[in-house]
Parts: sequence; C-alpha cells; structure tokens
Amino acid sequence: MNPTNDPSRRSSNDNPFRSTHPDMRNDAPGRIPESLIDAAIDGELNEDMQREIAHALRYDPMRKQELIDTADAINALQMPISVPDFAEQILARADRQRRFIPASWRKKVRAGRLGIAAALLLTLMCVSLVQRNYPRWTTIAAHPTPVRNIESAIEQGTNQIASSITSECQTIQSSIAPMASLLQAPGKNNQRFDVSLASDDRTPSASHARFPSVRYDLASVSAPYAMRTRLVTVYVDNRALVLMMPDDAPGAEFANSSSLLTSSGVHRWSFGTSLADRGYPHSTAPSSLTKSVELEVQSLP
Amino acid sequence: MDRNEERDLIERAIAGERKAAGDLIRAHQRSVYGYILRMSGRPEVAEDIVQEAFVRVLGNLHRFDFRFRFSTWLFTIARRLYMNAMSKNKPAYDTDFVGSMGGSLDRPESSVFAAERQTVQHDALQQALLALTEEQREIIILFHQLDWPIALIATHLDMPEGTIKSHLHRGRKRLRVMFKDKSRLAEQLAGVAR
Repeated sequence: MNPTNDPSRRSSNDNPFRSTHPDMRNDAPGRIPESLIDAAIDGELNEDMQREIAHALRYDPMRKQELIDTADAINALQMPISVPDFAEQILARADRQRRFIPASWRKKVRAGRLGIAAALLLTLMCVSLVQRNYPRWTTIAAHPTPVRNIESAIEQGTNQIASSITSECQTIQSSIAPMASLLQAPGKNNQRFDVSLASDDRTPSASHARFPSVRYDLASVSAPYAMRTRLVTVYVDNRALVLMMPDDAPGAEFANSSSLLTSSGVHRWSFGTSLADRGYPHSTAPSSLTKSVELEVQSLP
Repeated sequence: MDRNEERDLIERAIAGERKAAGDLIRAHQRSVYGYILRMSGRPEVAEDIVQEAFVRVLGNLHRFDFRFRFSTWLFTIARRLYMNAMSKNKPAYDTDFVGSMGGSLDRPESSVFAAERQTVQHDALQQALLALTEEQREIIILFHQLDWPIALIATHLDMPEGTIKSHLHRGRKRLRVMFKDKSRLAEQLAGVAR
C-alpha cells in the first residue's frame, strides 16, 4: 500500500499538498530528525554536530536526497539575476519630484518656509492688534453713518420700522389678549396722566408741509397701569387738539386707532386728525408741534 | 559595502553629491530588485517598486538614522510598496521574465544548453516560490537569497523568531518539493523540444 494513501500516515497539517506528496512524509523511526537537518541548514549547529549529521546521512539515503534537493533549490535562489541599472532613472525622477535637494538648498528652502510662516504670524498679530485698538480700520462692512438730515433719515426708515412694529404689535396683542382681564387697575377710572410720546412723533413730511393734518403713526405711550386710552391731546402751536378715541368719535380722528395694551403697560396706536376740521388756519403753517400728549385713560373692564 | 563606506555615501548624498546618490543606488539595487522580483514574479512590478522605493529614500535621506541599517530601511519601504501594489493587483507569474533573466547568454563562455538549463531553473524556482504562502516566500528570500539573519527578519516582518523559523522550515520543505517537480518537468519539456 502506498504510504501516502494511508490516512493514518497523513499529516495533520491542513495543506493538502503536504499530506499527499511522497517527499513530504513525516519522520520515520530511525531516520535523522528533520528538525536537525533544518537546524544544520539554518547554521545553528556547531562543526561537530554537522560532521555527525554528515556521517549519519550515509545511512539515510532518503534524507540525503532531500538535503540535496533543498540545496538545489537554495542554490537556484542564489543564482545571479540580471538587474538593469536604475540609478539614472531614479535620480531623474527624484529631480523631477524635487525630493533630491542638496543640503545647502534644503537649508535655504527650510529657512524660506520658516520666514514665510513667521511673516504670516506677524501679520496676523498686527491685524489683531490694530483690530483691538482701531476696530474701524479693519471693519470691512459698511460703517455706521451719522445722521445729518434727520428728516430724510426718518423718512427712509419709517416704512420698514412701521411694518416691523406692526407685526410685533400683532404678535404681542395676540399673546396678551387672554390676560387682559387680569390687568385691571381698580379706582383709576377717568384719570388723566401726562405722558410723553415715546416714538415717532415724526415731523410732517413734504406732502404735509402745510400741516393739513397731524398724524402719529404707531406712537407708543408708557402708562403706569393697564388702561384704555380714551382721548389724546396734541398741542399744535400751543393750541390743544383733543383727539378722541374711536369709541367716542368713531372714524373721526383715528385712522388706525387700535390701542394695544402690552404687558409693560405701553399703549401703542396710530392716530391723526385734520387741522382744518379743528379750526386751524390752512394758510399758515404751525411753527411748532409738541411731543407731549395728554391721555385720558380708563381701567380695562 | 561596509557600514562606514555606506555612511560616507549617505552623507555625501545628503550634501547633494549626485554621484554618491548614484553609488548608493547601485550598491543596493540588486538586492532590493531581486527581493521584489522573487516576491512578485514580475520584472515590471519589481522595476517600478525599486525605483519608487529609491526615490522615496532619497527624498528622506536627511532623516535617516545612522543607528539602523540602510538596507533595512530601504527594504521596509520597498516591502510596503510591494504590499500596496499587490493589494491592487494580485501577482501573476510572467513567463516573459524568464528571458529577461537570462543574463548568462551574454557570457561568451556559456553554451546555449547551459543558458537554457539556467533559464529552466529560474523558471522552476519562480513557479515554486509563487506556490508558497506570502510569508514563507518572503522569509525564504530574505534568509537564503539575501542572507539576512533570523533576528533581522523577525524585526523586519514584526514577528517572533520562532514564527519566522516555523515559516522558514515549512516553506523550505515545500520549496524543495515544488522546485524538484518543476525542474524535472521543465527539463523534460526542454528535452522534448530539443
């Protein structure tokens, strides 16, 4: 029976080639151990041991043949290989990639890189210093411009301000409406308060140069209590013009007279009146329009 | 080349002396080319890897630590490049390279038959090597072709010495069998052809 076909003699190694090839059998009793041959080939045995193995090989022809075959393979490995000379190609590639730089140049390149890095750092420090001390020098965005012509400045921004305030007022109104009944001030009915107009008692525009009407858009007044505004008195050339809230004079003076109550007690509304209807002379423009308004307020129901 | 001579070449190459860089390449190109050629079995792959490895080495020569061996550094770079290349393209045995390895044909004293025999042996050896596992092949090449000691191979491959020996012995056993078979087959074929 061929020993390689005997399953009991097969190597446990998972390499199928090792278990089937006749030259790959395990060590048989009486043969020179393969590990000793390996140690000899690896150069790990002294001369005495090597001589003993050489002597023993005379009586183990199979192992001797294995050793000869191994030596053949090793000798084939050590056969010279023709190698092209790569030196010039490599140096040319190194030159192209600028990796092979002479030491003197490398120092210059390194110094240059350090210089650039230092310059960048210095620039950043300078910019930071200037920004801290003179912020306007380093601000790229438009500078705030002082208003020299208040009238035109207000004209330009009024529409935007009005729309934003309107939306804000609507939001506030809707949010505080359910709380209105809680904000009562008992005993304050029909009292008068002198309050100042906090917002745009704007100067009449060109179309109203002759003051045909007085109009406050979205004026706001701070009141000490949460109260309803009943009337407003505006002084034009020291003449008091009493403006009634729409509850008392529907549609007469107030174009948009909703009096908004905010949580901080601020009334906001728009109102206006015709001076002509109030007996003010058309032909002469008033010389002054005071900012003060007088409110008659009433507690909320 | 002894280490002092090598150090001198490296220092001159760092200083920008082109000839020294060329000498350094010529001193090591044979071993590193042989290593990669035996590993890959493809001369064009070996050429590319050897050139790239030297280009990288020259670009970083000023960082070389003289406490270590230059060849170890070079082989480490070449090996990494080889592994990268092989992860993209699996090695395939290239029969054309047998002809390119026939350097002995240039020798006037060699006969045609001697050259053919050497070619057959080269061919058989490469086929036998490619039949080994990657680790076995590499360790056998480093140990038997480049004469690296076990300890150095262990460091180079980051494996314990015992593992290196185990791979070496198994690989050598298999190489012996494969080489014998391939040589026999190749010589038979060559005989038929004659």
